[in-house]
Amino acid sequence: MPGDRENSLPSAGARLVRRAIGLAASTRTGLVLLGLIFLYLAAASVWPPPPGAAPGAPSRLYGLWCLKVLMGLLVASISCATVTRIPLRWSHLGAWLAHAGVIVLAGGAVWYVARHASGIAVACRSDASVPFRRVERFFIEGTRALYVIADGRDLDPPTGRQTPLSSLPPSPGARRLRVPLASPFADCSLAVTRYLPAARASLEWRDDGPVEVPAVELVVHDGPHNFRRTLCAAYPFARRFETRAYVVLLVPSVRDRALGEVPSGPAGKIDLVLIAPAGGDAAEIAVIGSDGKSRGIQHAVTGEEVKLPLSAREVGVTLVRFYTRAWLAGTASAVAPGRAQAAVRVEATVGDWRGSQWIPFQPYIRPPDPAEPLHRLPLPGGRTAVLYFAPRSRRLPRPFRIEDFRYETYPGSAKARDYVCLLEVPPAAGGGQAELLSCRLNRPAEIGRLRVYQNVWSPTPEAPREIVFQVASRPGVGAVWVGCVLVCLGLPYAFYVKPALLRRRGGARR
Amino acid sequence: MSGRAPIRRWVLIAAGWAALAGPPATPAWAGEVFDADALGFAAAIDLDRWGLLVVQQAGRAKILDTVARRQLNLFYGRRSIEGTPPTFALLELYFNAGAYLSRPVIRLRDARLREGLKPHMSPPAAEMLARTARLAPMDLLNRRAELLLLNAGRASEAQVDRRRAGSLVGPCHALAQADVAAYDQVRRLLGRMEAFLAVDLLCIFPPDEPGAAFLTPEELARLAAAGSGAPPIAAAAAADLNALFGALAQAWRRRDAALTNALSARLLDRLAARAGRAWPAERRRRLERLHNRLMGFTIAWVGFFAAALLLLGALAARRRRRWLLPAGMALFVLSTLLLAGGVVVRWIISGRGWRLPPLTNQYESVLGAALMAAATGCALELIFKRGTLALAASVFAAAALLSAFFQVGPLDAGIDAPMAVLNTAILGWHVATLMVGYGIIGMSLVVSVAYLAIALAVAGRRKAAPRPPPSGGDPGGRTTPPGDLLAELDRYNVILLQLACCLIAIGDALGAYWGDRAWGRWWGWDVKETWGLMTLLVYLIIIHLRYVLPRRSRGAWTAGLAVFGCAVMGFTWWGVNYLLRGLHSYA
Repeated sequence: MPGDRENSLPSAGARLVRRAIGLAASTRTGLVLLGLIFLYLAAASVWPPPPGAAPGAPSRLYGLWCLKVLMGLLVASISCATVTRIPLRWSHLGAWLAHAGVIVLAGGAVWYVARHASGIAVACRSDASVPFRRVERFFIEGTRALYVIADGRDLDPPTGRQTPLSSLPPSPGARRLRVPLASPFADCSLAVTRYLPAARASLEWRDDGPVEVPAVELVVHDGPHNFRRTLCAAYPFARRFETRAYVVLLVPSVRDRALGEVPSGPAGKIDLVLIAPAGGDAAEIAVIGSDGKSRGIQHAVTGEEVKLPLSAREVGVTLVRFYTRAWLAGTASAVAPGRAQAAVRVEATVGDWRGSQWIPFQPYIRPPDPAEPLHRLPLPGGRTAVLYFAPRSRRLPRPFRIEDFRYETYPGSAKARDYVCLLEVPPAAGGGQAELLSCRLNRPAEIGRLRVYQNVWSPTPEAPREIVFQVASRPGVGAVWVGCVLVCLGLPYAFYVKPALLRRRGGARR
Repeated sequence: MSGRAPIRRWVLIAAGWAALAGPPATPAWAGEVFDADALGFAAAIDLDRWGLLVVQQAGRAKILDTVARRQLNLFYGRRSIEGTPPTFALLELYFNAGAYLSRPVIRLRDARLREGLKPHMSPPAAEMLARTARLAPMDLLNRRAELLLLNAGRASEAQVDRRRAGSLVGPCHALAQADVAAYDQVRRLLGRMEAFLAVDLLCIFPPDEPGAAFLTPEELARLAAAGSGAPPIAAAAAADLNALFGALAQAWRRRDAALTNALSARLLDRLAARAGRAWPAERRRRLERLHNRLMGFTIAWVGFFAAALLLLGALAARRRRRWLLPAGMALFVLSTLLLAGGVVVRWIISGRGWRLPPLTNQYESVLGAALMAAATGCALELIFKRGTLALAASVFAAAALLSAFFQVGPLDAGIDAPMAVLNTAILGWHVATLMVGYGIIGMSLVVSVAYLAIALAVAGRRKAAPRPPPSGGDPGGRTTPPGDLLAELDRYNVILLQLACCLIAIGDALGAYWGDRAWGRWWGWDVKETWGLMTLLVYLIIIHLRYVLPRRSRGAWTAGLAVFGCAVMGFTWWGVNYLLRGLHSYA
């Protein structure tokens, strides 16, 4: 019957599938894949980490599709080989267990990579005498976001004003990423215009700020020392320049003695130097001695040194430059990878005014800290936007608070044996009592589906002001452990139990 | 008679060798550090109790003998100076530091740095450096160190040569800035100077509160000067102890042996009474001193080396000298027991309890791998009884212990409390499993090299004489035919590789479990993890390759890949820690 014979022959597609399965199931294919994976891993392990990453961070090669394809092909090869070539008998149970273990482990790993979230949560306090603030969020590793916060109002916690920056160009590029803003910045347009993966950020005084803010750059000639400073009343750290003998202040008028600004120096011997811009490139300088009496007012122009008769000695001052719309702008320069951190340039436009600020990347935001100048962008109308470039943050399912921190040492020594945090976790939505959990270096605390790991503290273990925790979810890890156990059982079975079974069977036959 | 003749021959050869070599040569610089006065004082004072004094260092209560050996090794490069007891050398340099500021006690082994510093040295100092490979502390003395020595009374104004003090610090920094390679050497050299100063070293004064940190003489002096009575030691006790320690230091400097002995006894009694249970029991302290004197039992390498020679002889002439095999096996077992004893003693001394075996640093891992290889060799020889596996284990253990004996590279024999993150039982299981695996891989290296050497020799012989000899090889039938020997070696190789594969798989899985507990992720592509996985991959490749290779070439491929696998394992074990940066840098 020719028709039956034709039906019994496999179709071309089926033949192709069979051939593909045969090829995948061959030991040679598995060996080639193992060898390729070995070579790939060897190359990846010596490949430099991505620019801006911490020293010792894994290279980018581990995340590329090539490795995933190789691993996938290996798992497919093992699956085909197990099903088609290894008979399901007691004597072959070892190979089945080991291969099944690899498959389960790979499945668990895929699940883990696809679903897990890990990051860091930070507990802070302004002083060692006050309790730690409640930890409500964690910062997800490997992500980036721009936080725009209105004048300190939303510093704690960083609210939903984060804009994920998932499509940052890998190298400096001109692509603009619009950052949507709401009140009080509704009239303001913010865009990320540049990204440097490895940069060193610094600050420079500029004279194109959105509002009128006076500042003066001066050099103080004090014996062998020359101090170059810029004084500006708008920035707390730049309001004055002081030594152990005198204080230099920028004031609107030298007639305002501003004696309230004089600190109590050693034995009260502090002179006060007041500088007031007098329009153009000139200023008035007044010296008030430590006895509170004025020693005269001098007129100074830029570039000329003025001698100031202080109580102890004579000091010269040279005015270098005046600013009328002063502000501190962040700048960044690209540097060699591994020495610096990433940074983005954020450009703000309000009406005709346009300003930009470089924001360096930071692994997390410390809520109680006052914003550093690098994170402040002054806007017209006296407003200030505080910007952070940090990982995306996510709310913890159950926020916690540090009840106690213990730095355990070996007896008789100051060397650390363990760091222990006692965490107070409020009850879940259903009510109940707050839980107290201990979190040690090798014994993490479990809060819902998240594990909280003890990480680092600063500045001292006796009075820490900041404690960092690693937070991680672990989907698929159970499957990984099952896979590991299967492999660890399968290998000895295949190597030692199988030969014994075969020997016994051979003996019985004889 | 026939059995004794070879022994006699060996004894005669050994005696002749020893006679030719003569007694150990006295180093040319002997006497350059300690003068006759100091050596006489060393002989007159009672150092036995000083050696057992407890010092808190790196989280562990150590005896002064241990601290002294390690400290001297740090800056002088040897565990004793000119044959004096380490305890004496350390205390002499501590109490009387000023007298040694111009003596060669700071080791400088790096030839490039020596050449770089020579132009900045006076001719006598350069000559001393060339002769002893050591610098005088005076040349590295900075203002801080000078004040520290003067304030503590360890040096007098007259002993500090102001024209010379710190003369090499500037050139050292200039060299470090100019040359990246020199930076590390300069850093080490300045570190050795710090070790000579022994700041914060002698933590010997127990505080009032049990469990609190011990105090150094400098801290005690500050407490006594403050006189506030604040903890950790009450004011009266602090003043009393400080006065006693000061009197002892003065007696020591005056070389008054009788007074030194009397004050030492008073001070040590006082410290023992204050410490109570903070000091380990005397039996344990004596055990620690025995451990020090036997160089941490690494001396067992001699036994393994001799056992390897005997077993090699037995393998080469299996039926002619039957006594070689039992003799070699006996020596091998004895060496294994000695090494095991050493590891157990180290475990007891460390005081870590049963949870944490002594496998927390590179030195201990070398000892562990040697012991595991030897123990595996013993266990397998119970089954095979041919001596081949014992030979492989002996060679590997001897090589590993030799590196530990001479503390090659970064190996540090110190027994310290582990870092906080390593203070877990999972670590013990993880490292112990891997060390058994590494030891077995080391054995497989020896077996594979032997296989390849024999296979090459056989191939060469076949090439030279195309006709194969009659079956049996040796007409007398007294030696094993090469083909049988190769088959035997291949069989052993497979056994070892399978064992290694299982253990590395289990060890890696335990490591992942530990990472999940300690770091928040079970896998993170850290270089050590990656290379651990690669080691496992190599052994999986070898095991699967045997299914597809023809029987003829199977053994050679297995042996060749086993050598490669051992190289990968070596890189995982050593190379990753020092050549690549990762989270396991402490391992």
